[in-house]
Amino acid sequence: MSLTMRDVWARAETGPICPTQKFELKVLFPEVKKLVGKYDIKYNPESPVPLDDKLIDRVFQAGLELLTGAGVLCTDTERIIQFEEQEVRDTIRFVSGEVTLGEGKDAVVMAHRGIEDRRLPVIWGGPVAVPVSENIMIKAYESYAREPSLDAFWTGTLSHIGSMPVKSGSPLEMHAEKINVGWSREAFRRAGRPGLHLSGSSAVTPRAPIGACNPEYGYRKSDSIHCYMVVNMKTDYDTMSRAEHYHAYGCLVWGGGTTFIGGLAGGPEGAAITAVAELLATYMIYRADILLLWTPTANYAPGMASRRAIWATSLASSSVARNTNFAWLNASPYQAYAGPCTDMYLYEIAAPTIAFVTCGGHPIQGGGRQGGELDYFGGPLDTRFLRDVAYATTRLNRSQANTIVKAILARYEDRIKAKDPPVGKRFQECNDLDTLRPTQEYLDLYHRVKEELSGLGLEFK
Amino acid sequence: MSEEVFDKLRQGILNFDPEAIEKAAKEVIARGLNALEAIDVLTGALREVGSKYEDGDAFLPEMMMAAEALKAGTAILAPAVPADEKMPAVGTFVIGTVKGDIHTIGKMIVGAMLATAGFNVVDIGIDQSPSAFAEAAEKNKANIVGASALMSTTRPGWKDIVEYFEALGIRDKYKIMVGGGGEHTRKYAEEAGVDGFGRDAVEAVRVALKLGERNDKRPEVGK
Repeated sequence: MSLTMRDVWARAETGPICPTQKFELKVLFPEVKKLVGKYDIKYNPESPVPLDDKLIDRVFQAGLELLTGAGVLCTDTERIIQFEEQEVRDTIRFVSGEVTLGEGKDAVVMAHRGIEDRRLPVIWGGPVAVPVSENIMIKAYESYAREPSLDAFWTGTLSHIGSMPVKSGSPLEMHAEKINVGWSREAFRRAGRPGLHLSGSSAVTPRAPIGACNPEYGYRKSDSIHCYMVVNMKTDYDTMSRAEHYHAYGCLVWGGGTTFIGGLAGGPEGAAITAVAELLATYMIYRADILLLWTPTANYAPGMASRRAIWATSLASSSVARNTNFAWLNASPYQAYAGPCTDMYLYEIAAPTIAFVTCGGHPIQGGGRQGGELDYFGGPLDTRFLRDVAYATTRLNRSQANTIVKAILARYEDRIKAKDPPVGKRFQECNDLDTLRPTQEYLDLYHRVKEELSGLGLEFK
Repeated sequence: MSEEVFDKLRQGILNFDPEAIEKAAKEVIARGLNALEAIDVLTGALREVGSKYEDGDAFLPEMMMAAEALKAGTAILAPAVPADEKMPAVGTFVIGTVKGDIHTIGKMIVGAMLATAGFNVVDIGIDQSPSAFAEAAEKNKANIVGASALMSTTRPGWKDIVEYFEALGIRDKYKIMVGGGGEHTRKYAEEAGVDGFGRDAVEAVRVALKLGERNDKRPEVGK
């Protein structure tokens, strides 16, 4: 029997009571450890792109069993929302495998992709939650919208309005959300792409994006707004309420897991199966139309482009590709460790993109410096590079992709371990603010790194 | 004889087994062994778990469980330590995520690492107001207050805490540390006027230990 969102809300009120810390330490983590052992999942640094289909299928089954074995804790009621395996299978069976992003002539279809799929992925770009200065925001957004390789745009975060910092939960946050969305629309209009898909609310409180759902000045029904899991395998009434509103309004729901390697799910093996379980959960609980699969490293090496992170995300992605009809995004990365306009920044885009696109994902890429520093995103050349690498990847098989990814990792992972990434440059230093085109310095670097990647076996056309 | 019991304590931490530790701790008391030495064994084993975590051989839940197991042991052993041998604790650290921010993993990792370093860690959770930090600091006689904020829109919460503590006239009683988001947020910490910043859990522990050294209000285990 397939479940509705209302069925899930009822279970949040009637499921077994479990205090949060007990759920984390006595329910979730032991279940993860048990499943990692039962399904013989072992981290293999030599295979950041998984080659073993039996392992890939075991990871999916382990993820499904984690969802049905541990369930999802609702932190407001401290009750576990439980699922039966057949309910999950019956519910995900009806996933169409396609979602239309944007509208009119700017609409694109994001479809389920399989492993080694020759179809081109949809290219998502933008500052992706990186703080953006008020005085460059529209120009920066327009520069992305002008870039033909961009299919869907993810906004940055307006950090100040005038001299006032935008603070979570304040009226200014609500105001900033409307400004951010409105200026995105204006930027799209200036670029001649008024129907471009918009996503990326950076507000923490639900009322800000909910208040910005408005076809005239805010989120349109062809846009998407996110609903994340609460770390790990948890949800809350705020997020479930977001999902209720977005579906009632008619926009797309963008569902993301929150699996960090070294966090509550344990090591990369546990993170891989928890990422699968959380992806299934975001559909079961929020009916997410667009899903995110990622496993950034919480310790060991910061960021989303470490070897462990690529291994776990690739494995989880492959398992979803082979066992479901979902279309999902992989962070390629959201927030690089290095700053823009450096070779490491481009390597951090290339390695995960090659791995994830091979495993069936659609890539989304944002800024650098771990996403926290003002204006540290590279602009449209980032997206062009992402597109070039992603499209070239569709001509690779898994074995070729694995070899190239390892060669690229060798060029930057020591710099992650040393915690000394290059600082790079801000958007204003990577682009000419009058022409909104990349600087010659950044263009030269873009061509040089592409030549390096060609030398490693990536064929650009 | 003591080695055998002490090994049970150590294994109890490494296996995250509070029941085994309680049993071994009671054995320490029953046999009249040195309770302070036994506590040393427990904290040493907890440091081992912390090192394993840094090497990627142990995970956050295991650090949390090991810290809980240590509490179970010290609750039994501490009263048996003679008054003139009380071991100075590193201190009490109140930790939480600032108002409006619901990110928890970084805070949990730092909290668990602080516990392995010997701090009595009081975690007040996510989305906490400055008053909640102040109340927890006063109630638990904290030495250090630590505030996590991951997002640019929640970092102003650091300054809010500093100003709130100043307004209450309790700023000088506590060292205030912040973190979240990595190295590039250091300058925001400086602007907020805090005493310490950790770009990651390892640096947070190092800075906290240093701040603890300068603080003359360190409590003692068992008091």
